[in-house]
Amino acid sequence: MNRNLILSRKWRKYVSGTLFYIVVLGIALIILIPIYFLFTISLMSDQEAYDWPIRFFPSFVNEFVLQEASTPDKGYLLSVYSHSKGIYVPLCESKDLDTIVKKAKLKTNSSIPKELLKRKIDELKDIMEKNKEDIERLRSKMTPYLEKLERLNGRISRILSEVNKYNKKLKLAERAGMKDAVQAILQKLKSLNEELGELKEEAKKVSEKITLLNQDLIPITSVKFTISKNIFENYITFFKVTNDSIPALIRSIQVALLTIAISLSIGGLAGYAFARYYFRGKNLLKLSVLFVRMFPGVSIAMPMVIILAKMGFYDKPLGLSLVYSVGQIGMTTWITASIFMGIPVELEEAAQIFGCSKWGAFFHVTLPLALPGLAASAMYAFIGSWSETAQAIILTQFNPTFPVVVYQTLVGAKGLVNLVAAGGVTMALPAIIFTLIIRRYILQMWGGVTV
Amino acid sequence: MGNYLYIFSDPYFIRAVINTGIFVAISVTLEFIVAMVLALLINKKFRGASIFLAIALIPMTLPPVAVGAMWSSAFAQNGWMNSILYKLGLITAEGKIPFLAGTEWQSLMLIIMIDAWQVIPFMMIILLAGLQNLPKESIEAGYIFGASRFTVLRKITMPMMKPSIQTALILRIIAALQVWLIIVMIYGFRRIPVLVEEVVYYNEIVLGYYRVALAYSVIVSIIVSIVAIIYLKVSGAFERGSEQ
Repeated sequence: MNRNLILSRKWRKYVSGTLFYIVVLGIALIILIPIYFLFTISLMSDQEAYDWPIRFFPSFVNEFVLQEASTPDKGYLLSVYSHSKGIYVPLCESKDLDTIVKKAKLKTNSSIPKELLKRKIDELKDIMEKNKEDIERLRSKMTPYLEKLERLNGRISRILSEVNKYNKKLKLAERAGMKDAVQAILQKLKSLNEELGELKEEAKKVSEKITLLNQDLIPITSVKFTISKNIFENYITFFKVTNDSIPALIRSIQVALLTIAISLSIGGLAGYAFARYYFRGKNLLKLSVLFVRMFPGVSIAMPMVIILAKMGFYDKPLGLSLVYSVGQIGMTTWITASIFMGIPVELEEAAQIFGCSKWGAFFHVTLPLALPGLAASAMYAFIGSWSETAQAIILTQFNPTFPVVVYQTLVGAKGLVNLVAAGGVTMALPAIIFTLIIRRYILQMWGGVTV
Repeated sequence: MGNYLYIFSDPYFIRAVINTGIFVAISVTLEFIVAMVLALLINKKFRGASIFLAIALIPMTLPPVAVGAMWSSAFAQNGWMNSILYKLGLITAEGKIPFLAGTEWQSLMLIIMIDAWQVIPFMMIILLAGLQNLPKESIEAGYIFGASRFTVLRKITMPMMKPSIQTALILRIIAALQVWLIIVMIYGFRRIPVLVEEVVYYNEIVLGYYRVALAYSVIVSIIVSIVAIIYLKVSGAFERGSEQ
């Protein structure tokens, strides 16, 4: 009896422990999967990114196949292997080797050396010369099947259009309420569908034959080669396409650092005042500081254009960081106030007893203790100004910040998913790194300072 | 005044107000409840906690541009969401789900989900920090006096958590009222009009409507302040402020 109870308790403990970890793991997965895919897509070439279903791992090499083009005057046909479709997808047909190299680079992110391409063409010629008779034989075998398939496809499409016509007629007849006509049309449709089924079956058989013959034909009419893929090509392209991105990146960092400096110095001082001194209207003032945050950034931005232009700061990093600081100061004040409040006044007083000045006490005692929290609010300011787009669009003209550049690429270049993903990752990285470095302090901040 | 009349007679204005209202109401409630439940669930020390917390911090740090890129690539017809469903065998190659082709209501729900993905982990951390900071004695006292788990949660834990919940919620409401970039990144302008999106629309997309945009932002500011003041009054944050 007693043993049973212990056992069942143990068992329950295991179950709840497992369930707990399942919950934790589930949350982690839900957070990580989208991030993983964003990163994966940013490493994909155009060809991969538009394949369906999208692969879960980016490839590091591309397998190419070189063939003669359908007509001799078109030159050569280059195809690349698509992992999701399981077939070789044609990339381009051209006589000009430069065009082929360029197109391959654009679509697959692999740069094929021209020398290699030349060598492969020679190889292809050799192979085709060697197996000339086989090729002839196979091709002549294939021709009747190809013709048959074409005929079948023609008949199928004719019947399909007829089915469409009868369907329309059926609708009309139904609306008119002619029962006999409806019956007749239905029967006609039934027989047509039967015929269609037979034809499709036949076409399937023929195309299977063609595929079989092709399997013999392909190895002697093509050469395969594998070339490594530059997985960071999208990032390089991104920085090239948006010609402004590196200066924009630098400007963004400037703005972020300036915002941290301004909001932390002013907000930090205000926070210290709120924490240490008592004066009339303190609560009202503290609330009104937060009130600034309630206005949408965009609506502050537009009047700011005029003010900044008058001050001569329009379209400059300093002007932008001034505007960002308006919102950040409120946040910083609240955070730092709570931190300074957590540090006992007695420590400062003790330092003063031991001969420190008021400033000295602040710098040698309070500031080191408050550093984690200050770092955390610096992170808020960093993320806030780093990822801010709405105001930056309005407040910049010729000197946009990095988010604006990414946003414009996204809105402008619709369809280049992988390129946009690369931009997004580039934008996210500094913020993520900054946060992970500082994460210990953030948790400490919400948990209060322990002395 | 003409600009204001123009806005009020614009059919998009009503839609924007309604959409924003729905978005704020649903997203803030949903995010708060889910975050609270999760925080209560994982409110204990466990192995790998620091890694988990680091992971949970990431979504909040992602700029809206990255979030937009992430989810627009997810919900495209040939996006990875459909790919995953296909690989799991939940849909066929023909039956791809057109996530982005839904009605306005469905689209709004999708945006709320995306927003929740970004905000819930962070909110959870804030609440978790608050929970771990609570004095253990009072909760234990509740149990000793025979209160059930739910009663302890309702009568002891929640009231003690009130300050951090209030701060988290007010900041969240203010942020949710101003959401726009993710919507534009995924749907483009004017598919799902919301207030701040309209401001940007008049300012950036249609030329010569600068004054309308200005009037719009004044209206938005007024709405946000009214909501914030109502919230602070109702939740009693003003009184809390005077206690400190």
